[in-house]
Amino acid sequence: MKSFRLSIIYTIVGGLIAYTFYRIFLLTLLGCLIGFMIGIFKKPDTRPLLLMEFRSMLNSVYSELIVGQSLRTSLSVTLALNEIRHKDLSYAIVTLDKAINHGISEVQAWEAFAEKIDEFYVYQFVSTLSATYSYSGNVAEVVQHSVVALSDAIDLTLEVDIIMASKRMEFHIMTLMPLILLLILSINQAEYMMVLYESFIGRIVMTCILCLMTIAYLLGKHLSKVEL
Amino acid sequence: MILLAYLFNRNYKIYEALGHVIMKRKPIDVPINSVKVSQSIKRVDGLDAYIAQKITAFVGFLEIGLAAVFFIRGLALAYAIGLMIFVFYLPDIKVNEKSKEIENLIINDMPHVILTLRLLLLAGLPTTKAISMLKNEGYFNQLIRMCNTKVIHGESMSKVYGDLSYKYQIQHLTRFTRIMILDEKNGSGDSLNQLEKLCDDIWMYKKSMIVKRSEAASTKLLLPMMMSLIGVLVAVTFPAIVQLFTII
Repeated sequence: MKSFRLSIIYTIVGGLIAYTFYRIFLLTLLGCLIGFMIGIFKKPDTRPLLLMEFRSMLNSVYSELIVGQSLRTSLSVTLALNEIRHKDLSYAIVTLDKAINHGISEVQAWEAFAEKIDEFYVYQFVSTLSATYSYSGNVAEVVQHSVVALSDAIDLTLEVDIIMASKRMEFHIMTLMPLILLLILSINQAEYMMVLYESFIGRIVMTCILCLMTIAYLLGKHLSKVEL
Repeated sequence: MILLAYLFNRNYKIYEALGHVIMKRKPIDVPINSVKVSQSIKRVDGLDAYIAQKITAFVGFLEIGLAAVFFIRGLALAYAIGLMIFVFYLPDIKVNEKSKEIENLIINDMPHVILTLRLLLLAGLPTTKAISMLKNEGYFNQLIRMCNTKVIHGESMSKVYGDLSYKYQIQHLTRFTRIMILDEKNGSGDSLNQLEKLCDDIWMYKKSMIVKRSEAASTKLLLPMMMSLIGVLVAVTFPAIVQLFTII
């Protein structure tokens, strides 16, 4: 659904760019098509949702452990009480619960769960859990501590992600503004701007401007990458 | 002369030998701590490569200098001198960049590794076993696993971690090595709290660094913004210019 929404946005943006620069029906259609294809092939970033859902799952398990339930029961209760919005996580937890209830060893079931999700914090939790089963008896206490530590770490990771996402948003708005300005001008002052769409030199100028803006976008994208 | 220098430039072995002659040391197995070098070279761990690059840069410096003396006159001479200085200091710039990159890699990897280590210690594993169970592929993880292998093979923990701290001279890494050394003496009880505090501090540091870099990136974004605005300006002025020429 999210991917479809994204492809619709890209279609509109592609169409608008083609219309602003060329005002040819076929090219506008081509712009829409290119935008739609980019939207389809670009996967939406579901990691923040996965981390948030995993954190809430851990907290729910933690609250059950505090009242004296076993890990297995805590997981079943969590699954019954909470709705998990992340598709893969939801499927993996249901599989995990089924596997544990069907008699597969807890460590094996959790390891299979971690492999399905393929996320750093999930691996961490599972490795701690398997180490606890192998070397120490007090699973509940260790899981309680792990849940607190992992929740804090996930919080911080999400905070850092939010800072970076705000910068990315700022960049996208800054890139789109000149384009919108150009579109408004071409609609508002259509007669004045007609030279750009009707003469051969006008077409060349518009193509050059499109190239310049594309270079500016790529350069901006490169500069706005914030990594430590 | 230039041709000779150019041929000489391609022979890495000659530079290596020359490097050893200049540094007055044996070609192999010289510990980096015994040679007085900058912190960046220590971190990068590539003294031989650095010397070779420096000699290459020196030959390049001479080549440009000779070309400038024989063929260049006027203002171009100033550019040639600038180029000579740049070529001479290029290996240093490269080494410093690499050193900074290593520092970033370590800081980036540290909170995750420390969190895992802390959880494994919490699960009741001894420190050496917990480190050997770390599965992360990051730079910091590789470093401490290397140290752990040395400890398992009988070297003193304080010496191994002390050397690591001396080599990299990174504040958070030094704190980590101190915790590890104290862990050997006092047991894992205190280490858990100290590792937690260290992990929190590194997260805060990482966050502040990201905020700083994103602010710097905002300033740099002015360039693409200007490029886009120039595009709009051209689009606005072009019809006016065309109309002007039509009237004339």
